[in-house]
Amino acid sequence: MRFSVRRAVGVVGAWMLMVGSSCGSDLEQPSQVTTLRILSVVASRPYVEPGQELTLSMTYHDALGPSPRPIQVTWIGGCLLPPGAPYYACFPQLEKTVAALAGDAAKEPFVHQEVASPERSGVPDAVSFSTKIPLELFDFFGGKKDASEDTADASEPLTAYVFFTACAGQVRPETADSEAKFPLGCFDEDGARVGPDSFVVGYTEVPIFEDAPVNENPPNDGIEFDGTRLGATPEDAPTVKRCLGGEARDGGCEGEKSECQLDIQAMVEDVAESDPIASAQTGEPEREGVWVEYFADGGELSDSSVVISDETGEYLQDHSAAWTPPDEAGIVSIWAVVRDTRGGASVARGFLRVE
Amino acid sequence: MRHGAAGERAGGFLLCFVGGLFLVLYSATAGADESRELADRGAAPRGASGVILVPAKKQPTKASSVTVPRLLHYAEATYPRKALEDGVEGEVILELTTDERGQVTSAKLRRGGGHGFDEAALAAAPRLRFEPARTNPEGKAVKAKFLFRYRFILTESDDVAKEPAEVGATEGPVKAGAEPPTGVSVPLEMPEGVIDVFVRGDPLDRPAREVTRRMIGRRELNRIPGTKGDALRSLENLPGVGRPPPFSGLLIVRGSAPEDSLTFIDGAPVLLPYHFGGLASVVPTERLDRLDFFPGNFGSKYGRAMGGVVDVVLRSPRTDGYHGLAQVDFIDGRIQLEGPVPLLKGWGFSMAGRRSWLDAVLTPVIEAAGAQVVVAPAYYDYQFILENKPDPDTRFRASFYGSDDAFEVVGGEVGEEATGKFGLHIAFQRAQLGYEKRLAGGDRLSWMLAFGRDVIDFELGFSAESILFRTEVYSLHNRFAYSHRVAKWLAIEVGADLSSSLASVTSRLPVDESEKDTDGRPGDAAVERLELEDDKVNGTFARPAAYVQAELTPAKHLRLVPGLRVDHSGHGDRVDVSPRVNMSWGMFDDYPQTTIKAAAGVYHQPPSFFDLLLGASDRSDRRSSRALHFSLGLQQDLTRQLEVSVEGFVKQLDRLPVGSNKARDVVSGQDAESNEGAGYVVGGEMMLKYKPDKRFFGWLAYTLSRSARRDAPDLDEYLVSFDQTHVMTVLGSYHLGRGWELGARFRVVSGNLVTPVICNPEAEGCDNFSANAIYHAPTGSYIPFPAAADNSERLPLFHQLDIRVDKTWTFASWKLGLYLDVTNFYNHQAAEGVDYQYDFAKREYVTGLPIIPSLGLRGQF
Repeated sequence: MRFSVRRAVGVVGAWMLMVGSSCGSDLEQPSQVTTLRILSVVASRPYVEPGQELTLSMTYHDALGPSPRPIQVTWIGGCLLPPGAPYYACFPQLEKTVAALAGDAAKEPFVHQEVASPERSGVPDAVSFSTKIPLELFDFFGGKKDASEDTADASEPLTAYVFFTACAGQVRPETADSEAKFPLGCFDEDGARVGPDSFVVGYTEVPIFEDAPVNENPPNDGIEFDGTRLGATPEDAPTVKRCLGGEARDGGCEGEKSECQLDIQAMVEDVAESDPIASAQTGEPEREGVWVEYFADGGELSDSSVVISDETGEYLQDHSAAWTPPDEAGIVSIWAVVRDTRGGASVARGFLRVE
Repeated sequence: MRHGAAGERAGGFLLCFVGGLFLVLYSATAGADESRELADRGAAPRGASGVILVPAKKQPTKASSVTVPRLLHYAEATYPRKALEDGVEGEVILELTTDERGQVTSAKLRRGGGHGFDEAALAAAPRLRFEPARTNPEGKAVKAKFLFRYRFILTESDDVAKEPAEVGATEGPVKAGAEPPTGVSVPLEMPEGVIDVFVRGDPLDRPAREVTRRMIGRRELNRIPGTKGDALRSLENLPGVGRPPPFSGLLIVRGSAPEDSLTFIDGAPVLLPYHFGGLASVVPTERLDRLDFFPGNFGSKYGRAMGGVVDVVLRSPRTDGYHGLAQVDFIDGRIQLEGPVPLLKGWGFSMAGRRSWLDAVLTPVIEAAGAQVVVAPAYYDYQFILENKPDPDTRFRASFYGSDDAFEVVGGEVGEEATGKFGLHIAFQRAQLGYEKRLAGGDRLSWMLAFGRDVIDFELGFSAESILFRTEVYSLHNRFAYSHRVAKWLAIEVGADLSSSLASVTSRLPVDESEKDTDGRPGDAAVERLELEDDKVNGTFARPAAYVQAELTPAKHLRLVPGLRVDHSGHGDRVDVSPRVNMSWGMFDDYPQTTIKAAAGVYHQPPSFFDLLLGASDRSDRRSSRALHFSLGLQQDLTRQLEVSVEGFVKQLDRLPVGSNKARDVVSGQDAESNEGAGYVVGGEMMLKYKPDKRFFGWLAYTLSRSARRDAPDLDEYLVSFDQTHVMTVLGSYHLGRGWELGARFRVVSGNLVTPVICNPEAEGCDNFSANAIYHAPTGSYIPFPAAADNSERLPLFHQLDIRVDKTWTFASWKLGLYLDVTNFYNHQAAEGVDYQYDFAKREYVTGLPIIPSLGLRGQF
C-alpha cells in the first residue's frame, strides 16, 4: 500500500474530531450568588462574657428567581460545648427545642423565627437574633454557675453554639439518617422538600470567657473600583459597560485576563488587632489574620477570597478581585465580607449599573 | 451524553481490537493445528521432555522399508549464556547425515533460531551417535539423512538438564524413541523425519516454583503500548494487578494495599518502584535482565510483605565489545554505555543515567497559574555495575544505583507574600555487592549485601506555617542462600535475610486535637491558626529472618515446595513464623501440557517505621499484620504458541492497623491506634497468552476480585478504596516487516471507589433534595454532612485504548528506532474522582489524563 498524504491527513483529521477537547467546570464559584445564600452571620461580640447580650445579624440573598422570595429565618440557641467538640454534639441537647418547631416555636426560649420580606434580601445584617448569655446555661454542664468553674483551666473558654436556617418555605423537624445531619428540613407549600438552592443551614460559635480579651469586628467602609465607590443604593450606582461574549469575556481556558475586567476592592485599612492569646502562646507579638470574601449576583469575580493581613502581620494594600461585568444590562450587587481569624466579621454591599 | 458517546466509541474500538486479536490468534492457532495434524500423522511423543519423532508426510516409497536412525549418545548443546540471561527460548532444525556406523558426517542448518542457538546446535551435532538406519530392522546399515531439532527451553529445574538420561530411559531430559513410529517408510537415501531434543536453560538465580509467577519477555517489555516501553509499568497489564489512580505510582496487587507489596532490585528492597506517581519506573527497561512478579503465595525467600512481590534483576554488562544507547522522548532522556573493562579479563561494566524534562514543561505552566516554582519538578536515576564472570557458573557484581524525585512550588505571585507551598522530595541510593556460584552437583550459593539510604521530605503549608515531614532511613540488607540437591527428588535451600535500619523522622505536625489548647478560637474553623509541634524521633530496627525451603518431586511431574520462614520483628521480641507450601502437577508427559497448581501460606508484615515512631502512644508492642494466602490454578497449552491459565485466590487478613482519622472511631469510641483490623481479598484471574514469535505477541488478562476490610469485629465491613471488581486488558503487537511494528492495548476496569458527600444525581434512588452541608459562619465555609459509608460509590467504568507504532532502521553497526506511543487514543474522559461545589449542592467528576502522544527516538550500537 502506497503512502498517501491525503489519506494520512484524513486519518489524522478524523482522529482529531473524535478526541475533541474540553475545559472548564460546571460547578459555581463561591463568589457567584445564583441561589438562596447566607453571605454572613456577624456576632456583635466575637468574644462574650456570661451575662452579656449577644446579637447575631444575618446577611442573606435570594437570587434563584427573577425576584427574591420571602425567606423564613430560624435561629436556635442554647447549646454550650467544651473545646474540640463537633457541632453535632449539640443535637442531643437541642432535640426538645427542635421538636418544638413542629408546634409553637415562640414558646421556646432559645428559638426565634421570622419571615423576612423580599426587600430585606441582600441587605447587610438584615435579620438578627439577640440572646443574653445567661449563667443558667451552665446548668447543661452540671449546675455550674460560673464559666471558670466548668473547666480546670480558667482561661479555657466554653463555646456558645447558635444554629440558623434560611428557608424559602417552611422548616419543620426531619428525621436525619445520620447523627451529624441537621434535623430540620425545608418544605414548600405543597409539602415537598426543597433543595439546597432554597434552603441553607448553618451555625456560628462564639467563645465565652469569664474575662474576654478585646476583639472587635473588623471595620469595613465599603467597596470601590478604580477609586470609585460603589453605590449604597441602586440609584447612586456608578455605571459600567457590559462585557459581551467572546474572548474578551472568557479569557480562554487558561484564565487569561479579560479585557473588560474591573478591580473591585473592599475599603479596609490595616485593621488587624493584636492577638494576646496567640502572643502568650508563642512569646512573640502576634496579630490576627484578616481576609475578605467577595460576592456578586452578576458578572464573574476572579477570586472568592483575598488576604488583607496575613498572620505574619503584614498588611496587603492590594486585596482586590477582578470582576467581569455580565453581558446583560442591569443592576448588580457586590458584597464584601471582611473576616478575621478570631471570629470577627463585617459586611458591606455596593451597587453597579451595567449598561 | 458525552460519556455515552465515548462509551460507544470505546465499544467500537473494543470490537475491532478484540476481533483483530481473535483473527491473529486464530491464524496462529490454525498454524498450530497444522502441527497437531503432523503429529497426528505419526508423531510419537515419548515422555514429557523426550524425543519426538515426526515423520514427514507420506512420500512415494520404494518397496523396501528403512528404519529411522535411533539416538544412542546424546551430545548436549550449551544453552547460550546471553539467551539464558535474556530469558529467550528458541529452536534450531538441523539436517543430519549419518553413515553406516551411525556417526554424524554432516550437519547443516535447515532453520536457525538466532541468539546463539544455531552455533550451539551445530557444535553439538557431530558428537551425536545413532543406531544407523537399516533397510529393515535386521537389514543392512545404510546412510541416512534426516531432520534433528534442538529446542532450547528455559526451566526452573536444577540439574536434570546437565545429566542426560540414558537413551531409551523413561526419565530425563532427552529420550530416544523406544520404538520407531509405525508407518515410517522412507527412501533409503532420504529417511526424513524430525527428531526433537530439548536443551534446558537454567539461569543462575531462579526461585522455586510458585503457583503464579508472571514473567514478561524482553520483546514484550519494549513494545507494550501505553507504557512507553517501561518494564515496571507493564506490570499493570498482568492479571491480578489493579489500575492505580493517576499520578499515584502505586502497585495494587490482588486487592492488597499498595504498601503491602515490595519491590526488590537484585534482592534488595527499594523505596518505590516508580518516579513521580508512575510516569516511569526507577530502573530503565534497558538495564533489566529479568522481571519476576509474584501476585501472591511467593516462596519463603521473600518476606515482610503480605501483598505481592516484584523482583527486578539488573542485566549483566555485555563484554563482547562496547555498546551504547541514547534515547529521548517527551518525558525524559537516557544514555547508557557498557562493555569490557580494559586490562581486566572477564570484567564488564555498565553505566546508565536518565533525567526527565518535566521541569521544562511544567514550570511555565505552574508559574502561569500564579505559583512560584522553587524546585522544578524533575526526576533522575542512575545505575553503575561492575561485574566479573570468571566462568559460566560464577558471577561477582558490585553495583550502585539510585533514584531522585524533587518538586517544590510556592503559591502567590512572585514578589508577593507566599500564601501556600508544597514540596516533595523522594530519593534512594543503594550500594550493593553480590556473589553467585553454581557448584558441582547442582548446588548453588548466593550472597548479597546492600547498603541503602532512603529520603522522604514533604512540606505543605499556608503562609508562614508549614507542616513538615522529613524521614531519613539508612539500611543494611544482607542475604545469603545455599541450595543443595540431596537426591534426585529432593533439593533444599536454606537462607538468611537480615535487615537492619536506622530511621530518623523529623516532623512539624498539628497538635493532637485532644491535647489542643484552643484558648478562645473557633474549634473547627477552616482558616485557623495551626498549632504546630516540632518533633524528632530516631529508631533502630533489626529484623533478621531465616528460611528453609525444600523442592520435592515425589512422583512423576509432581512438585511440592514446602517452606518455613521465621522473622524476628525487631521490636517487642516477637517472632513471626510463616509456613508455606506450593504444589504443581503436570498431568501429561508432553505437549499439550496441563498443569494444576495449588498453594497455601502464612505471610507477615511488620509495622512500618512510621507506625512505630510516630503517634502519641507507645506502639512497641504492635504486632505484625498477617495474611493467609490460598490459591488454586490451572495452566493449559492450547497450541504451541497459545496457553491459558486460570487461578483462584483468597487472602485472609488480620492484625491490620486501624487509622485514627476514621469517622467511625468517633462514633464507636474504638481505640484508634489498635491493629485489630481484619479483611479479605477473594478473586480469580485468567490469562490467555500468545507467546512471542517473530510476528506477534499478545494476551488477554482478566481479574475478578473483591477486597474488603473491617476495622473492628463489631463494625461493618467496607470495600477498600483500591477494590476493583473487574480488570481486563487486551493487548497485542504485530511486526509488520521492514522495521515497522504496530501495537495496541485496550483496558476496561471498574471505576474507583469514593466516599460521596452527595449521591450521584443520575443514580437510581439518589435524593439530594436536602441540605448537604452546614454553613460555618465564622469562616464562611461549608462542612459537608457525611452522606454515606466509606467507599460506597463506584465511579463509572474506566476504559482506554493505547496505540504504539515503532519503526527501526538497522545499519551495519547500529540501530535507530523511532516510536510513537499514544496513551488514551480516543481521549476518554475517565472519572477518577468527584469534585463538589463550594456548598456541596452540586458535584461533577474529576477526569483523568487526556490523550498523550509521546514520540521517542533511540539510537543503539
